[in-house]
Amino acid sequence: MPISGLVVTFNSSTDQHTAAIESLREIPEIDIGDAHGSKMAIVVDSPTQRRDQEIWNTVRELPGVIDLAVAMIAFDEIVALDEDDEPAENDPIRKQ
Amino acid sequence: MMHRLASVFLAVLMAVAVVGYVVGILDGVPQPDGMRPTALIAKFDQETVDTNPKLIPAVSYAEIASTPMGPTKAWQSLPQALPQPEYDLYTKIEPSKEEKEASSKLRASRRAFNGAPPFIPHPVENTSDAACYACHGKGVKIAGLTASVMSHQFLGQCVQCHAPMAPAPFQDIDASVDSSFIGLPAPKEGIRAYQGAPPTIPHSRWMRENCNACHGGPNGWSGMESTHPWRTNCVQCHAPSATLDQMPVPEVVPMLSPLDVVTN
Amino acid sequence: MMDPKRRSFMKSTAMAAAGSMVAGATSLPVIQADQEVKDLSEVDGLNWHKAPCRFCGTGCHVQVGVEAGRVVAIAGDKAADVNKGLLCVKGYHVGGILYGNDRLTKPLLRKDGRLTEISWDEAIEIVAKRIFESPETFAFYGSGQWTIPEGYAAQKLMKGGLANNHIDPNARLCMASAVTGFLATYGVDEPAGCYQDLDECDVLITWGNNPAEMHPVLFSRVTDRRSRGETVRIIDIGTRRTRTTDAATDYLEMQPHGDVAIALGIMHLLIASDNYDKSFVEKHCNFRGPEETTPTLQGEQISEDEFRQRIARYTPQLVEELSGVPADSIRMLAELFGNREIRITSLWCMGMNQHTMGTAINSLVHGVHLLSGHFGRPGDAPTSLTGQPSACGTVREVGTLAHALPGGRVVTKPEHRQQSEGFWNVPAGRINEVPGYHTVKMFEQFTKPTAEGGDITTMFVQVTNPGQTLPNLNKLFNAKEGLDDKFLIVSDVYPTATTQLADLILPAAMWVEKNGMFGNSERRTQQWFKMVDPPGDARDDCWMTIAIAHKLFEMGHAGMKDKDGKFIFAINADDGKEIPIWEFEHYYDTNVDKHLFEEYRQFTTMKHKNLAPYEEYVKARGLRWPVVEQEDGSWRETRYRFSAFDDPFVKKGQEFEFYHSSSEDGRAQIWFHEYAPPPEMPDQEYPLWLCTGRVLEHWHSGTMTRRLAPLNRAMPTAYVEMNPEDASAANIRQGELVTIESRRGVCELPVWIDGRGRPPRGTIFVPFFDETKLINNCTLEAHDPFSKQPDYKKCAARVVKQTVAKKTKVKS
Repeated sequence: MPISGLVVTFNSSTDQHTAAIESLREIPEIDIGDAHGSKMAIVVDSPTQRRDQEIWNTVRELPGVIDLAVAMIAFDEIVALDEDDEPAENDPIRKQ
Repeated sequence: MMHRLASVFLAVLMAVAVVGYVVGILDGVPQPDGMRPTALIAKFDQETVDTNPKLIPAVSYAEIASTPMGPTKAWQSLPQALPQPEYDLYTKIEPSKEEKEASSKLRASRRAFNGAPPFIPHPVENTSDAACYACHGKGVKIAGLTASVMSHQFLGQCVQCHAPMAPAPFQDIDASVDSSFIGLPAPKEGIRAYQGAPPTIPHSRWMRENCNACHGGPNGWSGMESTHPWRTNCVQCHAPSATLDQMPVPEVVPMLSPLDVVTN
Repeated sequence: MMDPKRRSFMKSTAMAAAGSMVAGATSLPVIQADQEVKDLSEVDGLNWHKAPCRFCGTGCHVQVGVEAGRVVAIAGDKAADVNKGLLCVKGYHVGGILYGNDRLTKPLLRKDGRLTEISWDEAIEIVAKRIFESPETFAFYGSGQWTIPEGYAAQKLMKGGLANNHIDPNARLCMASAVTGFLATYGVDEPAGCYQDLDECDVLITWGNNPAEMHPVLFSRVTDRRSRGETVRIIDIGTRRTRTTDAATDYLEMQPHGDVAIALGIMHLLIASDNYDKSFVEKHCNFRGPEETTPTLQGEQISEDEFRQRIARYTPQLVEELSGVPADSIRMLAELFGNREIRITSLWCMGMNQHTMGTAINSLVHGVHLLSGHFGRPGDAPTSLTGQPSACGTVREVGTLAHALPGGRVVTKPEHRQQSEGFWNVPAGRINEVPGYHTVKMFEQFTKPTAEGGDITTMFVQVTNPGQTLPNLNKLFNAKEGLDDKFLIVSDVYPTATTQLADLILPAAMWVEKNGMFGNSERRTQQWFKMVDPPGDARDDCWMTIAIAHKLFEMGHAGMKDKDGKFIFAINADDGKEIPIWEFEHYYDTNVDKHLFEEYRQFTTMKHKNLAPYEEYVKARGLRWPVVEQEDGSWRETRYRFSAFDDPFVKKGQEFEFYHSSSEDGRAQIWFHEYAPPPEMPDQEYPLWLCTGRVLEHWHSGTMTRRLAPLNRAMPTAYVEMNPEDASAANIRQGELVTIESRRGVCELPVWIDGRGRPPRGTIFVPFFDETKLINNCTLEAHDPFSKQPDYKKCAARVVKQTVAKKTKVKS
């Protein structure tokens, strides 16, 4: 159940990206923090690492977002990959 | 005995000195006769200065700040070799992941996007290509700084592609621009077909023909050095990308049609 | 499982960590050392497309890397013959020009002195109304940066629709004298050679030209031959030392206007020593001089004897006196030209074009090459370079000049008007036979109050920045301020010196935000497709022209209808229905560029400037006209014009044929012009020569390059370049702010003693790229009598030390 503090960087001032910020709000795992210039702080508290990855990808894809940086990760309880995280069939490195 | 000889020697020495002094005064030393200008206000004989490379023209105090000072032409024309640390081809180099990443970040900060010619991180005088080449031809380490090696063949006019810092008189001017341009980031690594396979070259080889400029040699880019600099033919093992090298790339790689085998 | 307390503590810590990073951050610069470094697999979404570079007339091709709708990288195009994979520092950063944060994104109307956002519908209606109310006092000021279809649409709107010839481009300020030089010499505009000459010449002469900074890709094409061990002698004839001088074998420093004397001196020696190419001259040339009373471009034929007599005066001694170049150097040049074993290429650009004797000096340098037979073989060429990406394609070929019609036609010839009316399918007599106002005159008439005869009241400026680039700005531009009945419409991508006085500002799409075609200095026509969307409401210039035309059509302007009553820009879909391209949401329903280009192509065969179908340009990295269809259906470009070995239009059996000769006998003209001194020369009051120009890092008025971090950092300000002795005599220090004064205006600049170039005593140089330091307040509007191109390269000025000026003020 990872908790991470992230910094979202937009391609211009955050107040020009209300739509993107609105869609951030709609993700229940995300808390929105301070914004300054083109950067905005968020905290992600997700149930699984897989979900964490999904959220990361979603934020990355939002219009206007040019960078997503990690400020901090709570390492307390990083568990192994979820059960459905079987090695992919066509991944030769993992199969070894 | 020794004492006597010494005092005779001293006396002769003094006599020579006195004669020398008098001759010196009478021979060519400017006299304050009110007719000839003193050295302080004399104009330079530019021709003499030009023809004798060992002469350095003096400048007024006001001009000192703006006058380039340095070795004389005669000294400049002598080939000088800076002492360089010895380079051992077989020193074990294994940059860590973090070192590699830090190194590419520094590298990225020197260009607008991946593939752009890097900026010149220092101001340049209107010097010739030879001046650039002196340090950047084979690279050099001076006072903790490394002059990077040219990654491409010698081309005239370095500043045609590499933008320098502001000229000396304008360095304090705020040159920041308000832009939202975001350049292509540098690739982190090539693709390995399997663990232990040599990675492909993740960047274009155009203008980067000299792999050693970054990946090896005594003046390679720190953090990007090859772990095996003694091997000389890089593309023997590392495959380049046809797309990035702007080779003609067909949509589908054409193959002969499959064998026509009769099935019963 | 983490306990809830611990969880909320971790969350607040995480928030604090992220928050601290946010608070410390300022605006995000271009790639920073702390930015994420991506894998190749993640950049797989990157697509590469070809386009010609947006900047100068060299016409390099770039590969544009587009990812997620944004340009992120640029690479030199290895498939391009012009640049062979190399670019210059501007070209490598051209992608950033789209992303300045102050892009214009909304139409803006000045109401009571303040700019207010309006809709496109309103904007188009305002323009159309102004034109409808007074079509004959409307003027269209365009550009050598117009794409070919943009220029063609503007040309058709004005001459084929409004019957109004007041359309002229900024190229008037740039290469008009090159045009008149070509016309006077060959009877047809544009160079016979191509860039291959640079690969084959043994001697390269730069006439008042600094290609090391202005056309670096072409210059390095020559200097890189030296790196490969070839010998090329570079002779730099100039008024100051430049980076080109650094690479030159010989530097001949001349007085301003000295080039005229030098060219005459070379011809004199070739004739006096009987060392000219008699067979070439006998077969292919006539001699010509200006008429005594009213000189024209046609001139009058003179005999060889008459030519000999007139030129006899220009002995090496007299030329030394007039030009300051030693007599021995003139002899050296004449000996080189007298040697037919070697190949000689001459290069020139603004030095010979921005010249009150521009037509004369252009004709004379062509004459030197013709007389000596250094013509028409690869490496033997008089080559005129252009400064804008489509000065040739759009201005010269489409003819967006006050006197011209497409394809080398002129409004004064009845058969040319008739042909154009035919291609446009407009009623006979639609095209006005009187040439319109050329640039300087156009702005004079616009900035002069209507009551005093200023008969241009509405002006539409597209893709250029006259508020910075016109000479004598106070008279020709700034005087517009406060004239209430004058209306200035400006379409641009960023705020400029011109938008400052605009009454209506239209936000434009630029470069790869639209389809386009350019034509470069070597007759090469290039094509590219739109790759990314323009920001906000910015729209294509070509669309603006068509939308205005359609609004006029709706209002009932008869000129917007062709003979059949249809809209002059009508494009039908395959089903026969008209596509409403005047509505922007339908503009890209079809390729408007392609339709306009195919219509324009019909005009190009008269002067044998044949163009291929649009689709051929899609496949190529540009093609040099004439592009002629072969028996197998393929299209062949032409490298060398008038030379039988390459030009398909030269008659069989001839070695050379000047098939558009003004004397109609297949011959080129070798001109004689007397030397005349410049119109303004330094005197007691204004003791210095002022020369203006460019630097490598910035392009023209800097609107684009000043928004690129690497370039702006390398050259953050305009400056005045001074000789150290002049500076020391005036007690001026490095970097000191001084005032440059001429009889017309002032400009404040920091001093760079022995700057990028090194001027001789008595000369100062100022680059014009900096919109905060307008040197064109000082320049002279005196212009060439034939080309009407002003001389930005020489006028009288003085440098005033500011502390002195301020002290005097305090005392008085």
